[in-house]
Amino acid sequence: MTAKDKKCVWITGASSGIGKSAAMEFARTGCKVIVSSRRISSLEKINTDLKKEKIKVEIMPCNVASSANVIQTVKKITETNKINCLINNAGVSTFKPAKENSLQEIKDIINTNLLGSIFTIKQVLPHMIKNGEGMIINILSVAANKIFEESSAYSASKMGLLGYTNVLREELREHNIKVVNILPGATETPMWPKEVRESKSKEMMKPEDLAQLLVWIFLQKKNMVTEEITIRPIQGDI
Amino acid sequence: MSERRLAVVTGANRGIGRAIALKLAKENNDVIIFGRDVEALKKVKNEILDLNVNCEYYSGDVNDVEFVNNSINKILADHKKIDILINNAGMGIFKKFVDSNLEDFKKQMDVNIYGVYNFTKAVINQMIERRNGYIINISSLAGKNSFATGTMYAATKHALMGFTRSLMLEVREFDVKVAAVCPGSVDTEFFSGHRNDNPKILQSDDIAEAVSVILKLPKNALISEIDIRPSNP
Repeated sequence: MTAKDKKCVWITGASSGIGKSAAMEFARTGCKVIVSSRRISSLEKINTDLKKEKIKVEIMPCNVASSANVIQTVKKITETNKINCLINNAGVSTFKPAKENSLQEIKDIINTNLLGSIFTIKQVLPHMIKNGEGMIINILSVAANKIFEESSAYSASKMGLLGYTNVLREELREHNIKVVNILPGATETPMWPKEVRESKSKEMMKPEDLAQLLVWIFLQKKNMVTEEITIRPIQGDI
Repeated sequence: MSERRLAVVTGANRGIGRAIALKLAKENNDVIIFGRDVEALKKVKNEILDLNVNCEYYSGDVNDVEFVNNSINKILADHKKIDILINNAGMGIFKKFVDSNLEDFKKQMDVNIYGVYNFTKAVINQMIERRNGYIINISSLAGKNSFATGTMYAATKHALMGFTRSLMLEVREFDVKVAAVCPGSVDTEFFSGHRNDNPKILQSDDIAEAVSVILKLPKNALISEIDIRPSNP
C-alpha cells in the first residue's frame, strides 16, 4: 500500500474492534492516525500493540455522545492537523427485545450511534469544506437494511444514519467530500456479548478483514466514490 | 493450465469486461474471455497472454444456452474447474416507455438476465462441490434506482439484483461468494458508442479494482454488494 504523505485519519470508537484494527492498518500505510474513544487506557493499548512495528497513533479521548466534548476535540485536532478522513465507528448496542429496553439504554444507543456520528460530522464539515476535500466513512451495519430481532434501537440508529448520510453525500459532492457507508454483518468485536463471540467466532468476520477494506476505500482514485458496501460473513448472518 | 485460479469473464472484448479480464490476468489468474466480436477478443487475448497467464476465447451469444453449456463443459473438461465467473455482458437501450417496444426489452432481458442465468447455471455445481467459487455480477445503480428512459434497462438490472441477492443466500453456506457490483456511469462505449476520456467519470479500471478487492478478501468475509459512482458528476 502506498504511503499517503501523512494524510490524517480520525477514528472514533477506536479502543477496540473494527476501530482499533482500522487505526493499526491506517498507521501501517503511513497515515497520521488520531484515535478517540471514552477510555484512554484502551487507546494507549493500541500504541503498546504497535510498538514492535515502530509506529504509533495519536490519542485524543472523546465521548461522541457529548456534543460539547466533540466540539472541543475537533477544535484541538484541527489546530495542528488537516483531517483528510473521518471514520465514524463509535457504536453501542444491547441485545434485548424492545419491551425490555430501558429508556436510558435506548437513549445511549441513539446518542452514540446516531447523534454522536452527526455531531462529529457537523463539527468536521466546515473544516473539510475549507480544505476542499475529505472523506467521511460511516461504519453502519447490515441491520440498516435487514431486520434482526433484539436490535430495535440499534437498527433505528443505523437506519437513521444511513438516511442522514445518503442526503449528506449529495450535498457534499460539489465540495469534493466523499461519503462512504459500510454495512458489515457480524464481526468479532466486544460489542457482542462474550458468550456469542465464543460460540459463533467461526461464523463472524474479523475486524482486520474490514480494516483492509477501509484502507482500500481511502486510497481510491479521486474520480470515484464507493458509496456503499455490504460485507457479511460467508457462513450466514447471525 | 497450472494451479492458478481460472476466471471466466463475459462481455470481455471491450469496456469494463476487458478491464476486469486484464486486471485478473495481472493478478496471476488464467482468464477465459467471452464476447461476440472475434477480432476484439483476439486482441484482448494477446494482451492477456503478454501478462504470462493462459487465455482462451469463446465467441457467441450469452443467451444461447446451447453455446454457453457447450463452452463451459469444454472448459471444465480441459481445466477441471472454474473458480471465478464474472457476469459482465450487458446491454442498455434507453427510451421513454411510450417509444419502447417489446423487442428492445426482450433483447436486454436476454443479455442482462438470461445470459447471467445461463452462465451461472453452467458453473455453479462444480463450485458447490469444490466449496469454492466466486460469481460476480456487474449490475448497475439502475438496479437500485429508477430514472426516465429506464423502464426497460432498470427493470432488467432490478431483476439482476433480485437474482444475485437470492443466489447469495442460497450458496454462501457452500463457500461460494456471490456479489453484485453496481457502478454509476462508466466511461465506456456503452452509452454513446464512443469513449470521451472524461477523467471525472468512472473508468473501466475503477470497476476492475472493485472486483479485485472482492476477490482478495479473506475467506470468511463476503462483499455482497458494492455501489460505485463518480465522485463529482
